[in-house]
Amino acid sequence: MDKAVKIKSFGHQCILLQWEAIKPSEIHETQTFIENKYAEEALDIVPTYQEIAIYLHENIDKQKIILQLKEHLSANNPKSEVTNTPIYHIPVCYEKEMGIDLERLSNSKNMSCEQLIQMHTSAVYTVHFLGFLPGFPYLSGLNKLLYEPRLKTPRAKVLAGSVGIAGKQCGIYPQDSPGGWNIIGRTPLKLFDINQSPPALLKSVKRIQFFQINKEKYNEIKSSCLLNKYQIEVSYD
Amino acid sequence: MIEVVRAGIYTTIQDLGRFGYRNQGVPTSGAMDQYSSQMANQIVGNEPNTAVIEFVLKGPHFYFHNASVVALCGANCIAELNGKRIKINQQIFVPAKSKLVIKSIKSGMYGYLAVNGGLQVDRVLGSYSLYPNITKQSKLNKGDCIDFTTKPLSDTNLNSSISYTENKISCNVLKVEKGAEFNELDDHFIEEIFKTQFTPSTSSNRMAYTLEHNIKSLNAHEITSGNVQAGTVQLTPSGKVIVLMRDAQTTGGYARILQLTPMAINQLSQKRPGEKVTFELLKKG
Repeated sequence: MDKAVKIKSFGHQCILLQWEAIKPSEIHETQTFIENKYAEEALDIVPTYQEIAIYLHENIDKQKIILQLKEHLSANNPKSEVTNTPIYHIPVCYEKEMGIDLERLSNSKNMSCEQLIQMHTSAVYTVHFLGFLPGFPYLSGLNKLLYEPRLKTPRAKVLAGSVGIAGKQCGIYPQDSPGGWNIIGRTPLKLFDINQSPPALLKSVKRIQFFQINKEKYNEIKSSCLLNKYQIEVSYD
Repeated sequence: MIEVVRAGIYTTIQDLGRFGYRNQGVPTSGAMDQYSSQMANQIVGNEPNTAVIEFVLKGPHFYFHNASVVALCGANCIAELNGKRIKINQQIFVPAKSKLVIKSIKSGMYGYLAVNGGLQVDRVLGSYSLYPNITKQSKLNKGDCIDFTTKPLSDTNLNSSISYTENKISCNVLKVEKGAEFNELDDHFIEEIFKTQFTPSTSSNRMAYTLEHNIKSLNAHEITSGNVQAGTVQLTPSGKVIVLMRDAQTTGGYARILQLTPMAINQLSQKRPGEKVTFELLKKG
């Protein structure tokens, strides 16, 4: 596995770090290092699957920081130690009216809806990064049998909370939005709320698991979310 | 207080953007042409990051309940104050109970109205810029009323106009850096890209400008979702050239072939469908 980092300029006052192959825990470790070292200099530090973008304040010497990063990151490969990060448990209602593509997916995969739900709820997912929409998590860890390409024609409106599958990825829509992911259920949780700090529910969450709830429970949790009274269950393995 | 009498096409409030939340998927937003928005603020004695009103292609109409000093910059518009023609790029004294009408826009896309003292609007996640699901409203509508504060002008010479270099914005050559996937392009495509004239399509908006071109079989593979920002020039598998603008999402899955300089983003934002632009690689050092 090539762990060498490429350090590039990415437009005015932005540095892009790229890896050929890097684990989410290694991206996270590098991100934490940069956040601590450049708390003053950086405006935004944004991880994706194999990259970290560092957006610098206007008056910062970008070349100097590129040189520092080259020196540090070539000498210190991120360690891929498995850390026991907590698992956050996300309630999902898989009933037909919310999981609008569930039946089609289970038919095409020759399994029952129950089997599909079982596969979806038994996996632990890694939160790679947030993008696409404010608070939208890109998740890996989907069971291979559930891989499904995006819809050929995106829907004009996917409702907030919808849990979807695109290729080997899983994601959750924080707000109503056009979208092409296959929707298998909906969570009553608010994934993004400007009145919370941080606004994105999953900003510092590294691992999640879904659990099935019925419609009654969905409504109940939704009401307590509105009152900010819902406590997400957290477990450790 | 300013009342929106006619809203125009997509009239918003913008500052220089929302920073510190990109890792939560929040776009930066901000004025499309920040050279012009900052100039408008400078003319009325504001800090560069003060919130201004941004309008596009079709002029909004405003009613000023209170007196103010304002400036119009950016797109070249024909504007009237109480029926009398006013000039852009200079201080304009607006008496109380005045109608300020942007009648038409002769050239350019985005215009800016800066008000001395600044607009009194909600600051959300560190910015006044309107954006759906972040701020209460995503654009200004007819009937909206915006309060403003006034601050004493240190130099209240109403005739003083600050030198505004219009050809800086009207320049058709966009300076670029190489993008993250630039080196994956075939040599003959690289040659073509810097010779070709590109034209913004009619579907261009605050999120992205699609550039039409005639480069045969130009295309690139999709990438694993990576970082993108305003000014990122993306090339799709079907050959579309898409330049991301201020309201763009924070990550994307198309090849990033070029990256516009901050000034080039301002310049492109003012180009109308049908106008032509070319790319020029920034010299290092």
